[in-house]
Parts: sequence; C-alpha cells; structure tokens
Amino acid sequence: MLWPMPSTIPSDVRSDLLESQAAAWRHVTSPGASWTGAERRAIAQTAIAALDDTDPLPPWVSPTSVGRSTSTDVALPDVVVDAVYRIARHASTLTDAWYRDQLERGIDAFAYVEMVGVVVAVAAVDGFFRSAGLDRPPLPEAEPGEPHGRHPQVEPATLNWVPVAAPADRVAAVVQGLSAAPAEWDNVCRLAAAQYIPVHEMGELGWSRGTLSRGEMELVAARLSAARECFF
Amino acid sequence: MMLRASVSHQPPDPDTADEVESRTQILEQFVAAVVGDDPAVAVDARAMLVDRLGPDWLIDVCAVIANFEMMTRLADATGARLRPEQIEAAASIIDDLGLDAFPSARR
Repeated sequence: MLWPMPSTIPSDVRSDLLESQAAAWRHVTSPGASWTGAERRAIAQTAIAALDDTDPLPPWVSPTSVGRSTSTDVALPDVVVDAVYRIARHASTLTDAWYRDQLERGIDAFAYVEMVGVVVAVAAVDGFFRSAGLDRPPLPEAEPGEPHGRHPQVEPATLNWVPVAAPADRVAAVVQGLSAAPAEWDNVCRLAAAQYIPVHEMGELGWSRGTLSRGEMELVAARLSAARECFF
Repeated sequence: MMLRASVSHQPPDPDTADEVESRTQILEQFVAAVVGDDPAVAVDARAMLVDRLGPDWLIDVCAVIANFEMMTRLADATGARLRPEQIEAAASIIDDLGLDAFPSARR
C-alpha cells in the first residue's frame, strides 16, 4: 500500500506521483542524520499546522510567543517550532540575519538544513493535495531509531547562507542548498522527477509529460513562485 | 530547477497561437485561484480547468504547483542566490520591464 490512502484520491492520479509523495511521507517520519523519526514527524506536523493555519501569524510574530504551539508526538524546542512555522508560512521573508539567529539560539547547522528538507517535502505533498482539492493523506507513524549522525564535509558558500558539501559553489544554489543533508536532497529529487522534470532532463527545453509543454510548466512555476514572492 | 528569476526560453509550441493563449489564461487563473485565500474560488477554478482541458491537466498542473511550493521554500530557507553572471545577464531584461520599480513580486 502506498499510503494510508484517502478514499477521495481518484484512481487516475499518476502512480509515479503518488509513489514519490508516499516515499516522501515515509522519509519525513524516519530517522535522519540529526533528528529521530519522532522529531522529524513532529517537524512535519508543525509544518502542516502552519500550512493549515486559517488565521496565519505575520512573519514577525512567532507562534510560541502567543501560545500557538502545535500538538506533536514529541516536544520540539520553541526555536524549532518557530523556525518551522516561519519557513512553512513565510519563507520569502527569511534573511541571513534570521538564519544566523537560529544558530545562535541553538539550532545546529546540519540540523537546520535537515529540518528545511522535512518542511519542503511537506510543502510539496500538501501543495499537490491542497491545489487538487483532495484530502491530504495522514503522516505515517514515526519509525523508531536514533539519528545516524553522519554528515558530509561542508564549507561556507557564497551562493547560500547554509553550509554546503565541499566543494562549495560548483553547482546552482538551489542544488547545493540541501547538500549538507544529502538524504533530504535525494528526497527532493525523487519528488521533482514525478512532479516536474527529472534532474537529468532539466536541460531539455522541449521536455513534456504529455499534457503541459515545458513552457507551460515554467508558466505555472513562475506564477506560483511570484505568488509566494520567492526571493530567489 | 527553473524558478521565477531563471525562466529564459520557451521552445516553439506546435499548437495555434489562440490555443496557447487560451491555455495560458486558464493556467494563470488556476494558479492564482488555488494559492489564494478563497476556497470557493479554488473549487470553481478546478472545475473550469477540468472542463476546458481535462482531468489529466489538473493532476499535472497541481504536480508542478507542488514542486514549486517545495522549491521556493528550499531556495529561500537556504539563502539561495543567483550567481553574479546570472544577475548581469538579466540586467537588461529587468531594466526593460522596469521590475525594480515593483515593491514586491505581487504588486
């Protein structure tokens, strides 16, 4: 079984899309390099709550400061809850100074990058089901186990705030952004291959999945990115 | 990955110009509706897209939306920046379109 499948998913939704998103759901509830499966599931729950928030807080108000913490399986530090909410809901308002503040408040740089990987995967799955008007599948239960603690050799980048796998700045900023947490980048690539374009086909401007032309895919991407005020 | 700032080229489309324009308008209206705050508008937009283009289009458009709900956050949360040569290459287009005069991407 792909997921705890909601009965509202039509049978004609592409299986590659559902499989990649089901894999992402399992990924965000499994132990990572810095976080346990339960902690990652709690990060995902917090991101979902932020995306579902019908009365969203402005970017300058943190949820824990106004008693808006989400009920999660395990308690996350306030700094993590606030950071996850901000990334999920107001990513375009983030700054280098904000990122440095998260580190000063106790989030390890590797843990931050992994946390971003969890939030963006949640945004992908939520984005599909929300825009299609379908019920979002529930998160699976957390997989037991401790974080494995293996991290790549990293160095500062000029194209990103976050540290990246060495050597820095040899690839595009969005490609190296999660390289300090390679399993998260792998998950993003699996999702992108089914949702958009496989990485190895990215340079093929005539690429199509059968409905949208490449130009129409870029139109949708550009309109969404503009609506979200993506800084990049 | 091509985000808002990096769309630079579209290949020739075999469809007629009218068909392309019509689809472009449908897609733009759909994206605006489903990322907006009014659920009723989103419901109407889904029905319109399925009626005009078909259910396969709904799935594929929503998949691209999902991808860029992911990539926009990835870019902004990791502080992704364009290379200086990319900014330099886009300078004349930005100037021609007067993009620096806009206070934000929405306005």
